[in-house]
This record gives sequence, structure tokens and C-alpha cells, in this order.
Amino acid sequence: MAGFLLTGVVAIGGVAVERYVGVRDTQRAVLAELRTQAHDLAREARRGGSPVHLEPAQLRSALANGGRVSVVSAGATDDFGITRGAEVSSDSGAGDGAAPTIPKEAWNKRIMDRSAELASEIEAGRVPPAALTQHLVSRPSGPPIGIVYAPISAKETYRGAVILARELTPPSPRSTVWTAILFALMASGLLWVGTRRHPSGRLPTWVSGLLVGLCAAAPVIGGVPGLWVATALLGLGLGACLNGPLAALCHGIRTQPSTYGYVAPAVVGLSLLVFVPFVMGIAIAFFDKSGDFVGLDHFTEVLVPSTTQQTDFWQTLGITVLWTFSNVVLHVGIGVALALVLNRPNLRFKGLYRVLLILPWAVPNYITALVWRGMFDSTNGAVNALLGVFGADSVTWLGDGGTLASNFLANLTTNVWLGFPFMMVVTLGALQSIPSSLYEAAEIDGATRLQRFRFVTMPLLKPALVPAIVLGTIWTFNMFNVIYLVSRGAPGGQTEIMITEAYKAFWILERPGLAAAYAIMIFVVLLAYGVTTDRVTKASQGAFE
Amino acid sequence: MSHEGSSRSVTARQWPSHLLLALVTLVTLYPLLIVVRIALSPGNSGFTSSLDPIPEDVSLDNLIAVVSRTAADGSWVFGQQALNSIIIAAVTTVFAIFLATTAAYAFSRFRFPGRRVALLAFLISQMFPGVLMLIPLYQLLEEFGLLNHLVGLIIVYSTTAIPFCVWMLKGYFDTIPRELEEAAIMDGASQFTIFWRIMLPLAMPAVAVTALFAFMTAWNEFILAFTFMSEESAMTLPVMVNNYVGENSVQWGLFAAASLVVSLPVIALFYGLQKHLVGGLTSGAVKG
Repeated sequence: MAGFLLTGVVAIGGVAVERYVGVRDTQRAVLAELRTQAHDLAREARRGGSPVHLEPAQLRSALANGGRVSVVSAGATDDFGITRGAEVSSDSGAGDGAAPTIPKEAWNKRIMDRSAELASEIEAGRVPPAALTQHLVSRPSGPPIGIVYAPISAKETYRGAVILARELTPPSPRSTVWTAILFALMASGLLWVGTRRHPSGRLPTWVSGLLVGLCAAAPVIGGVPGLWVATALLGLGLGACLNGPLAALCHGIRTQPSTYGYVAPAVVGLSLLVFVPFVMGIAIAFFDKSGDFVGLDHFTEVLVPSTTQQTDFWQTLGITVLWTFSNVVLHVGIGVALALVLNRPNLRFKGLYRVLLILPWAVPNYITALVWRGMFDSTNGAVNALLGVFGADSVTWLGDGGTLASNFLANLTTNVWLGFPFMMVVTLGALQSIPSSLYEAAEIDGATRLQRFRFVTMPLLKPALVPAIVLGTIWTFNMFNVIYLVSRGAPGGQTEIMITEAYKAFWILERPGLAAAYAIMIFVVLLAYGVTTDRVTKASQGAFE
Repeated sequence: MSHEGSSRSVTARQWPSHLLLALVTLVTLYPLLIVVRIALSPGNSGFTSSLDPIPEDVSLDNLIAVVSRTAADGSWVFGQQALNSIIIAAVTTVFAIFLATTAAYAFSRFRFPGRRVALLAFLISQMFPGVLMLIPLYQLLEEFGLLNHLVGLIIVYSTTAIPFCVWMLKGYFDTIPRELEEAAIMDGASQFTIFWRIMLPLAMPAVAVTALFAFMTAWNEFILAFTFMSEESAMTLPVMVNNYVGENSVQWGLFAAASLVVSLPVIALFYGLQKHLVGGLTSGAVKG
């Protein structure tokens, strides 16, 4: 049941995306071709002296028959009920709100009438010069029409314009090839996932090959209906490969409803407010500010070093990894050490120490980050004052006057100070739950203090510490405030980490798409981290048990 | 306890521990003392080259200026913002803890289809960079008319706090021996009774830590609040503090005073929850 539902969702989604992208591609290609043609024709007309005139009837028939070429004497300023001068943009459909209500004949007539008017205006020299421009017009029925204008000018006098119009029929050959590749890839991916999940249900190679081939070929051969076939096949594949887990889930909900009752509110809330925005955020990366689909352009811009960028991605990644690693090691080291000291029996002032040591965690970190920035100040900062007490010279810690190491160290100090209390509290909490009888037993068996730590404390701390370390790593990786407020990326953007670069793209460059692309790279890196720790150390194994 | 017999020698050996703890505590407290000094110093002096954290002249001018801040129309805007922060943080805490304890209990004690995927999804959601969520969340809140509404921030904060709370609580539930529940099942207790009467009280130290975290997330959060709450009367305290930070300069006196005002409730809460953090309920229960 759920499998069929999924099939439907995937089919509709796939076709919608393909059509949208395919149509856009086609339109772009056709318009580009039209533009070249119009330009050539305009040049020809200029050389030949007089512009070619098409009678309205000829233009009408040209438009009606998919409109190959129409040349009329008309200006580049248009008043066809169409916004002028816009590149093909998302508002091309919405911009001419009147168009859908006008019948095709009347619409064509309007173009012709206005063209004639413009022609006379151009001859009278009243219409200002205009550059080559294009527009996309959607109609109530049938594919949209792309229109390209090219002014015909000779020695500063405008003698007319070339107008080319053509119906934009999807899909173009190019997008079909992409569709085939896309579908083949998706089909192979699904088959691969399915085989991994259910090794017993592995399909014979020729069947898988046939399925992939069908998915790839259907849209090429069958056009839009073929697209539906391919998507349906894919959906079935997805349904089949998720069928086992989904069936298990349905069975689980039927047999132990109360368990799902415990989990459902959290899962539903999280899906609506975390996962939905996440998917929306990913979509943003593929569009530029004006809403045009730009494909992978933002990702190339992030990944490929260019001269316009202050820093390159790979260096930033290196700094981010170094930053995260050094922080987490120090957080855990200091946190666990302090917790062990604080947990010693009969230690006096235990409560006082604990409450004082937790304080950095209690104060909002953007406040303390600013304070630390002040403390690292080269003239009035406490750090240099302290160095002065020991007779050391003042150091220019922050800004472009400092080195990469000094700026990094200032950031690190601030964040270690901010982060160790969390690990300390987690460790303390876990230490409380270790029964002291275990230590007593170990003592009776003659275990040394070190052995007790190694064989009693460590294993029992692990279930609480592992999730804390994984989360701590992720948080440090995304620790925006410290970098942004303490070193501010100095010197020359070298201490910038990935998250601050993403925010910079968002707030300073005002390019949400680029910021989203950067953020997706961050997510990919973190995911890779999660997967490798899982594989290499089996760290989360305990946590999942 | 077995240690009691040797308590004298233990006390005698404590001085290295105290030395270490005192040193660490000093380093830890120093930046905070600096904030206090700047807040209590008259004027907007900011940082001085002196290492001494004790203010030379004590003046409450900065604190009074921050607390009595009024809007253009004469309303007491600080009071309004403080109330916003309190409501948002308190409701978020209750909401998040309720959702997280139940989910964490199920993740810890039951095996069910989808469990691993859900746990993994909770963990992965922590990897989503905030900047990626900012625009969509803004659009969603705008769609539902929740911009400049306390409800909007409460919903966003509670859901973003859940994954952490669930993971922390699950880790803690895992350390509680199952024998206790098995005994309760023998006595005929229902599933919910076990959760409510046995697991939850035993997990109190962890619940306290987690609640504290949820409260702080909501109380201290800046970027989302800054983006979603543009009206002065809807702002939270962290956004208020930001008023004193200019593009290139900081009004240090007022900033420090405002920081102090924002931090004090959380510090008080830490102090109040001390005994929960300390209470070794589980070990006691196992032994008894």
C-alpha cells in the first residue's frame, strides 16, 4: 500500500521536475538561436538598405504555423502587453497577466497593430534606440512563443527592427539526452540500494540491465508519455526497495502502537520544522537571486578556486577540520579530567567548583566571544597584560597584524573556554550513574587506580560520551559566533571556517543560492564524518544499541 | 562506602586537586569578572590595561540605563522583551522536554522498525547548517503569519532542541539497569507507569541537564530571533544586547550591563539545579 503511494509521489515529482527543467532548457536554446538569427537578419537588412516588410497576414500565418521568421518594420520598444527587455525570466508567464484571456487571433493582431504603429514612430524618430532584446510569451493554449527583437539601424537612424517569433515546443533533443542519463542513473542507484538492503532478493543481471535501459530509453523514444513510463518504473523500483522496511514499519505500528506513540510527536515536529526547511534550503542552491535555475553553478563557484575569492575552499576546509579537531580534543580532555577530579569522594567545595566551572556555558556565547576579543586586544587586553607580568613582550593577537597562528589560537582559546563545561557536565552526569559497587569489586580484585579508570570508568562513560562527542564535533564545525566575533577571519580570511563563509555569502554578498551551496558542502562533509566514524571506530554502535 | 575508612588520608591528598581546580576556576571566571567590572564601572570605558577585575568606582548607571530602556512611545520596552524571553524559554523547555523524554525512552527501551533510521535522522538533523534553514523557516513562518510572534519562535526552538535532548536522554536511559523495570513488570506495572514512576525519576539528573540545555538554547539564541523578530516589542533579550554593538564600535559599559542582565537568570538556574546534577539517584537505587 505504502509502496504504491510512494510510486505515485515519485512519478509525479519526477515528471514535474523533468518537464520544468526540460522546458526551460528548450526555451533557452531556441531563444539563443532566434537571437542569432535576428541579429544576422538585422545586419543584412542594414546592409541591404531597406528593411524587409512583412504584411500583417504573412506575420499572422508565420506565427500560426509555428512562426519561423517574421520581419516587420517595428521598434524595439514594445507595448504588446509584454514587459520589454527582460531576459527569459520566471515572471515571463506572470508578467503579461492579460495574455491568457486574449484569443490567439486577437493576440497576433495586437502585435501586428502595435508593430505598424512602432514602425511609423521609428520613422518619425520618436522611439529611442534599443538593443537586441527578447521575450517569452505564454499563451492560453499551446506552447509559449519566444519573441526576439533586433533593431535595424544605419548611421544612428532606426529604420526598423527584426522580430522573430517561434513556438517553443518541448522537449528539445538536448534535454532528452539528459533525461535518459538522469533516469538511468536513478534506476541504477535504486537497484543498488535495493540489492544492498535485501541481498537475497537480488535480480539477475540481465533484468537489472533491462530495467535501467528501459528507464533510460522510454523518455527518448516516447516523449512525454515515455517519461511517465520511466518515472513509473522508477517509482516501482523505489517502492520495491522500500517495501520491506515500510511493511515492517506498518506491522510495527499495528503491533506496538504505544511505542510509536512515544516517538511520533518528536518525529512529526522535527519533520515539519527541520526536514522540510532543509529540503527547501537545498533547492535554493540551484537558483540565483532572481529565481533563475542555474544548475550546479553555485557549487562550481564554491569548489573551484578563483581569483575573485579571498580564500579557496580547500584551505578553508583544512582550517575547519583543524579547528574542529583541536577544539573537541581539548573539550573532552579538560572536561573529563575536571569531572574525574570533581567526582572524587569527600572533595570539599565540590558544589562550589562545579557551579563556577559551568558558568562559561551559561553566558550567551556571542557575549563572551566579544569579551575575549577585548581580552586579546594588543594594547588594553588582559592576555598581553598577563604576558607583561611574566616579562614577555606584547603580542598582536588579532587582525591582519597578527599571524594565522595567533588569530587561530585566540579563537581556539575562546572556544575551549566556552566548550569544556558541556563535556564536564555530561561526564559528571554519567559518573553519577556508575554504581560504586563496581569500583569496590575492582578494588577487591586488586585493580590499580589506572586500571579502575580504564576498565570500569571508561566503558561506562562511553554510552553518554559518544553522542556528546559526535554532537560536539558537529557544533564546533558549525561554530559561527567565535570566528565571526573574535578573529573575524583575519588575517586575510585565513581563519575563516566553512560556516562563516556561508554566512558571508548570505549576509554580505546577499547571494542565498551561493550560501546554500556552501551550506550543502558543510552538510556533505559532516555526513562523511558521521559515516567514517561509524565505519572506522564503530563509535556509534553503542549508541544505537 | 568503602572510602570512609581512609577518609583522613584522602583529605590529606586533596591539595593537588584543589590547586588544579582553583587555577582552572580562576581562568574560567576571569572573563566573566571582566564583564562585571565593565558593567559596574561608570561610563562606557570598556577595557583597560589593568588586570584587576575589581572595579575602581562602582556605579549602577549602566545597569539602570539598560533595565529602564523605553521605546519611542514611552512603553517599557525592556520589560516587554524580558517577558518575551521568559515566556519563549519556559514554554520551549516544557515542550521540548515532554517530546524528548518520551521519544528517548522508546529509543532506549524498545526495538521497533524505523528506530535506527529515526535515530540517525535525529543525529543528521544536527548537521544541517543554520544558514540553510534560515530562509525556508522565514518563509514558513511568514506563510503562517508567525513572524514577530512568540509562538513562531517557540515552535522553531522546541523542534530544533529535540534531537539533542533525545540523544542525551537516550544515552542516560541506556545507563539505567533494566533490572529495575523487570522488577516493576513482575509487580504488574503498566508501560506508562514504568516510564513515569521509575524511569523519569531515575533520569532526573539527565532531565535536569537537558532541560537546562533546552532553556538556554531558547534564552540565548540570537540569529533566528534577530531574523524573525523585527518589531522592538517582539524582540528577545539577546537581540536587545545586540543594540549596544555597533558596526565598528561597542558601547562597552551598556553592552556589559545588558550581558549581565541576560546571563543572570541562567546562572541562577544553574545554581538552582545543582542538586539535580549531583543527585546520584541511580547508583543509590541499584545499591538499595
